[in-house]
Amino acid sequence: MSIKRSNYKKLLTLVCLTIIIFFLIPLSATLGWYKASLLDILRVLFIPDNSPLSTVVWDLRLRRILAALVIGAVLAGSGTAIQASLRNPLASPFTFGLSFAASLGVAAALLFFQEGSIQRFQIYFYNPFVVSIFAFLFSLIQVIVILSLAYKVGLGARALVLSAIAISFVYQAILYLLQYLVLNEILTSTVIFWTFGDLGRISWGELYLVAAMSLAIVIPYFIYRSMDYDLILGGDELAKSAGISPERIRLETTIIAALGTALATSFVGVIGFICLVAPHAARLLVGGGHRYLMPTSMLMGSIILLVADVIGRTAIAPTIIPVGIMTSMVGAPLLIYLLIKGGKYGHRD
Amino acid sequence: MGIEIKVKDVKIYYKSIKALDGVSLEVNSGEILSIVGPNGAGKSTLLKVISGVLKPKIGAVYFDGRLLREIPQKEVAMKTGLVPQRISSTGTLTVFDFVLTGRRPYINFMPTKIDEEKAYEALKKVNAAHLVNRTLEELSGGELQRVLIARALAVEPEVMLLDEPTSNLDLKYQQETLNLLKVLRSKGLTIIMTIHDLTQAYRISDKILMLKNGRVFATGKPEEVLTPQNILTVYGISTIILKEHKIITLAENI
Repeated sequence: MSIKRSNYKKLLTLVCLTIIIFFLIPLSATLGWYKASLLDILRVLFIPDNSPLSTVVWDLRLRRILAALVIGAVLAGSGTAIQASLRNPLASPFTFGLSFAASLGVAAALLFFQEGSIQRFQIYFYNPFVVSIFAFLFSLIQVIVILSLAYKVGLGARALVLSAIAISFVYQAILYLLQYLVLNEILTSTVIFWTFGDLGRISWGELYLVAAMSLAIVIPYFIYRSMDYDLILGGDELAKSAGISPERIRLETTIIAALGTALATSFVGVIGFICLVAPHAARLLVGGGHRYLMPTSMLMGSIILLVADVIGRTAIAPTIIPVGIMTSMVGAPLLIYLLIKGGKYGHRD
Repeated sequence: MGIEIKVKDVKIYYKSIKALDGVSLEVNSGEILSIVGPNGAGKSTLLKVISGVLKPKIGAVYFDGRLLREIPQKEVAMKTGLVPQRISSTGTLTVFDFVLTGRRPYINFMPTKIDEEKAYEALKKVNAAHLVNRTLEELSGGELQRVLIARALAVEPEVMLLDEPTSNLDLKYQQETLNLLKVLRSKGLTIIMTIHDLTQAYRISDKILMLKNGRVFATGKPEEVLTPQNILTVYGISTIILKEHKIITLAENI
């Protein structure tokens, strides 16, 4: 197969995934407790009115759908970028404990600064900026821990992920301790409810914040670095001889992945494994070259999160299963499989 | 095509170990310089210094008389084609993805048609065009070596730096690789490589630099450097040299 045909095939995969997303948006808007036909949904999507259906679609379902698309893409992109820049196929914001560090940050903001409250299954953040800044600061601590373990202590792929998971337990323990010490039923239940990763709780304002930061910083950076990730896979020496600094790119990549994860985690809680599953699924579709892998992985992240959320909303309706629980059920076996395989990234020695 | 490279009195210390202890060398365009010496003599370190990957605090490297550390990184990257001994991981990259990374110094955002064509031409030069869509894991040692050279050629370099280019190859591919280097030399490229096989070094090199414990033990034409006496001192092994076949043979005391 010629290069042209192989590139064409990869491009076609990208186009197909984009089309799938455009079909999934109205389709997932039809599914749920409030029944409506696809035609009615399409009508209110294009011409919103004051009907109850329009309210359900615009205020409830579309918000979830857009949140799934943005957050799925950010988490998947972060996973792909971290995997390449650390040459570790087990790496991802979730398996590196960035999500748990961010969640501890949010809990700290909620418990100590009372930045939010719970009302009828909806958490209100008084100041979304403060909450996400806390989440970001805490995940930066984890970035420093991970990079030191990898490059000062010199841990291998498997050991690094297992240590990160161990550190996640510490974050969770601190989280429990905080809840125990604060012992304010309302605050504690706010935090507990928040820890279930759930797309439904993001508000439009918070969604704008996540989308703006993702589209302005996180996603463009990962796409821009595509070729450098290919180079870094070959080795630091090759990267340096091509005039790029692998150390700088690793640092920038993990910080930006932490930013993306912190933003996502602040408003929807911990959503595990999307960042690990999507890159591996995308790699099966378009191979390892990041020019195609990065966008494919982001689209796969959006699709997987959207589908997982639809299943969560409809499986035992009217009860909604938080999407974080859905993704963990699918993702954990993959992590175990990858650990058994040995965390190799096609090493040849 | 091709540049003159000078290294002057370079010292590299790793903590207390002297990896390079005052090394100097000179190589002109259209010449092959082989760096030989036992393991740990500093061969790979010297190659890293010349490629600009390692920046020496003491001593200097000159490209055509210009101080290497004063040349912008991008320009250095466009001049040098590095062929490492191995790659860290393959990450399910295809051969084409990998060779295309050689174009990185020319690419600002995404590779253009021209970059793709140059990468493909580089693969053709090493007779590996049929491998384009294979992943790096699927390659044999010989195929991978050719792909590594293709990646360096895709840079369109003026100097090729090769770390043990023949060590993982069978006889046929060793010969092919050396022949390719001769072709590149005839086009005026400057070629610097580290090599273990002294017979090959003898046959192909215009100059040889023999290192021992981070110092230059001998330098000059192959017949001046690769003498039984020098080899005995540096490697501690007796050899005889059959000049008419240009073959170095280990003596009977092994």
